[in-house]
Amino acid sequence: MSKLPDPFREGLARGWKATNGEQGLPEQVQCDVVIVGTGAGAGITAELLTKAGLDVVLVEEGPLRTSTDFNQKESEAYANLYQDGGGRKTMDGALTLLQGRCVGGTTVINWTSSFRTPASTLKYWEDNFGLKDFNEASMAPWFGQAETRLNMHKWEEAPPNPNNELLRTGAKKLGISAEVIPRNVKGCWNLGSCGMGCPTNAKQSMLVTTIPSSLESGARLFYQTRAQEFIIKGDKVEGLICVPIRVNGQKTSDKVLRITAKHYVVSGGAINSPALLKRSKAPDPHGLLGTRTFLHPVAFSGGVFEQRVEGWAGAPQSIYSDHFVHNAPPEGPIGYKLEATPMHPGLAAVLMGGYGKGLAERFQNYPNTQMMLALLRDGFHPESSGGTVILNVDGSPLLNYAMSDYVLAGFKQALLTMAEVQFAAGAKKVMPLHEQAHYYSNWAEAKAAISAYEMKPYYVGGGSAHIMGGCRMGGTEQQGVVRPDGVHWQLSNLSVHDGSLFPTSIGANPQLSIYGLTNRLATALAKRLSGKDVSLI
Amino acid sequence: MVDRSIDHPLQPKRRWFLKTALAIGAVGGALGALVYWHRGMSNGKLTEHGRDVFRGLTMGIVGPMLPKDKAQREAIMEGHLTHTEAFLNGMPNVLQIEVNALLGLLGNFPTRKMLTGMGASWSEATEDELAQAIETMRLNPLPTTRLTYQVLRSLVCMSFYSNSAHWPLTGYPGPVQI
Repeated sequence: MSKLPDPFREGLARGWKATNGEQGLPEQVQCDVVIVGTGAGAGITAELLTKAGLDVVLVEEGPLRTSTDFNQKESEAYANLYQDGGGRKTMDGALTLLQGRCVGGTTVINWTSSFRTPASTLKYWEDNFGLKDFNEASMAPWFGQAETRLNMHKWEEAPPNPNNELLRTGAKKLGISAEVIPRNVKGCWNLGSCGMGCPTNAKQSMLVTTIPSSLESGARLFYQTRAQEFIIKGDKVEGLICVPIRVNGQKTSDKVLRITAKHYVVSGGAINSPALLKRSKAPDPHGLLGTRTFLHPVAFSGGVFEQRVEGWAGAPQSIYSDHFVHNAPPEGPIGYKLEATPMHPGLAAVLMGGYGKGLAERFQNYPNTQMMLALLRDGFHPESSGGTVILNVDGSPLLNYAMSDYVLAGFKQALLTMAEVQFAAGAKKVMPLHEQAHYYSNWAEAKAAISAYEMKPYYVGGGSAHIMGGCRMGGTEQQGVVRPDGVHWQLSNLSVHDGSLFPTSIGANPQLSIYGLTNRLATALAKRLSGKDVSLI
Repeated sequence: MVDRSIDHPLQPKRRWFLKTALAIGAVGGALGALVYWHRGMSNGKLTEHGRDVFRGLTMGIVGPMLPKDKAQREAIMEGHLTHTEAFLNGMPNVLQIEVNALLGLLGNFPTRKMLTGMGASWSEATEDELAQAIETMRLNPLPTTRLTYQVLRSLVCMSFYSNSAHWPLTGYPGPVQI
């Protein structure tokens, strides 16, 4: 347990208003704006609205855990900070989905990589979804403010750990780009535990920035409180029904909290936001809600080196290569971004694959294993239309995301690229995450083997930590669930402010895209509701 | 025009269909009852059958990394099963129900035989039989059986290796103390 100061707990001691739903909820709450969620979109929105003097209520289904709780143990992190206790998957079980579920949302457990939305992605939105004025120049100030507020900067305070440096070594040998990743950290201890909650409060997540500032300004927080459904009448939301839950998501009682507000903001993240609107039977005249949900499906490759790599130590992500992504035309093969993956034992066991003697051998190589990932840019090609959020029998969300042959072809190409980069960096052997994989001792052997892989379900290993879309923006109501200002096309007092807004995947780790976009939307919303001009900085 | 098969439901083709449907229903019902009888979890606890399945799967998946000493091995396994129970309880109800169904399928002889080809129970299976059962699921022609392998392997690995008590077995020195 961290013995460092815990500003969140100090704030609670000073009287911040935070209620644990499991311990009882009031029957009625009124406010100016209720925000569902406390992650990237919610945090930015809450800070701006409270700056405008609005009475804000935040509703979070996950628990409240703060820096003194973060003990760098995977077992506790997955159970407390992740959706479904770390067990969330696509409906067919083929892809594991890492998504946060706690006060601060995914920003508490992400790996801090901070990229602006690529210009090519914004251009695609403009051309295909009627999102005029969402170009590089018009978005730059919104990204700039978020970068300043969250101390995002090219992270050069310490050298990259070997897990990342080897990516740069291999890329340089092959003559492809490899750059330093900007990160949202302040005084980073370089522990490597970002995925389990930052115990030093160096990561500038919503938990240590915008949520505290909002609570300091009088916002009220209800956690372990699930937004069950909106009460909708005509083109207006009249209330939000919430239920108290345990950490594992089970309801504690049949009592409900009804929140009445002038405006409602949905920031539960992709999958959860469209599911809430579906449970609420929100109007969806064009059948768009929940569709075009994207994942950046991720392929993995392990390279074993002579020297120790110790992929668990140091900043998880500090080097990337965009060589294979933004130069790729949307109508061509799927593009992919190369990065490294932190290697704590639980996650490493999943990513190395195998069982029995094979798994034991992989663990013998574990300290010397560099784990590379390729995140595939889905959503830019007719054969990559993403998944659809549907509701399970109990109302919980399911994501039906089938990997098309087009996406699977991208997996194979990415596995080839990663093996080539790893051998170029000096790997003694390489094993991609695929059920037909073995250790290969040189590039030629790997190339021949990977080229022959059968790319079928449950042979191809993959996952995702970037879930996007499902409530996409569109320039017309035929193109989107919400308008370009984030307001629902059919519900005049409901906005969506989170990663579910994206009409495609981003092609880069999405946190700054969420901050920048919701900064723009929430600044305008604050002005409309309060008449005041506010800014993040 | 009148549909004759509705007017006369017991004509030969219809009888054949009904018999087949009844037979499938009977077999399905029996298997379902067995799966329920041998369910893996009850009231948040792993049942004896559930523990057997997880014990066998864990031996098959991480066994070669465990100490050779039988008592040490047994102590680790007991701790792991307790940890697995807590791990499963951290999941929402719907996922627990799915895991429960998988444990039922693997715990009961006919469905275990279908999925893994293994006749022996998980607690009596040899190291080779466990490896063969897991391999049968891993590369099975049926996607659903391969999915069963992936789900259970993931559960066993996440539960076992995310447990800090097992760090010494992996080469991970633990986090930097602050």
